[in-house]
Amino acid sequence: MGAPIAPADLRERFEREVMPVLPNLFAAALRMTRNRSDAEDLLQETYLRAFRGFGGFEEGSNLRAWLYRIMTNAYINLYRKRQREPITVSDEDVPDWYLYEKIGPDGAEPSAEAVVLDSLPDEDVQRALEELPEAFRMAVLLADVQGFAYKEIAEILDIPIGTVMSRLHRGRKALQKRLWDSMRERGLVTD
Amino acid sequence: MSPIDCERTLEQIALYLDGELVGEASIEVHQHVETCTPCHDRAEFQRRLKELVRGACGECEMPPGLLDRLKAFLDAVDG
Repeated sequence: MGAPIAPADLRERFEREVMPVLPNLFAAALRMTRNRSDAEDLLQETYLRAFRGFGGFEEGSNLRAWLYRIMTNAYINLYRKRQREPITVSDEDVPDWYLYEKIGPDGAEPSAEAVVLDSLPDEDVQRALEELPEAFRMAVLLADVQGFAYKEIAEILDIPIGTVMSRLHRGRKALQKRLWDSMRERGLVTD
Repeated sequence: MSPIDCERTLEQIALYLDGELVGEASIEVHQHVETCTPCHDRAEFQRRLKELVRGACGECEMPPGLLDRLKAFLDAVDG
């Protein structure tokens, strides 16, 4: 262990290393809290907690995962209980390959599914993610949006890897169902 | 190493696309997907779907003033 870092250096390093991750963290906070004002508060709280703990953070280790763990814990402590649970989408009776079967290539129009997927507005996709039950939402957010490995997700959420895989699998199916509903609402597909 | 079949491939497609397969398991699935059109199409679709979600939800414009507020927070805490 080297010489202790001067507080000014620590702060400078903190701001330098964390700054690039902020837009990422904020986007995730939005999907977690599902409203802008809470997302801003959550980000601030995360930033503060991270700063307080930064002295103990091992340089060179996984900063993103560490920040996400802090944010997830802050979300659970502060926001989860407060929020009304919206109507959520279930994965019940959704087979694997649900969306593929519905809009995937069938030989007749090979480009149809690309057109449909590209035509979905971002906000529809965001809503779909936000309407997943929380456990599924967190798994899909961390895996598909933020690109964490299963092992990292297990650490961030403090759950076994098997549970990560199960929630991901079910969450993706529920998401496909919700995306299909969106596509129908937008008139991009017919039943 | 005998090639794996479609059923086995599709069972592992999520792991494969998530980068969670290693070594021989990864190679097997990769080779099958590259040479089997139906499996390739499904893999491509899943990949596109992941990209759709990532693209729509991944980054966000920070609200104006938020960065300043964060900085002010540190000033207050730092003392």
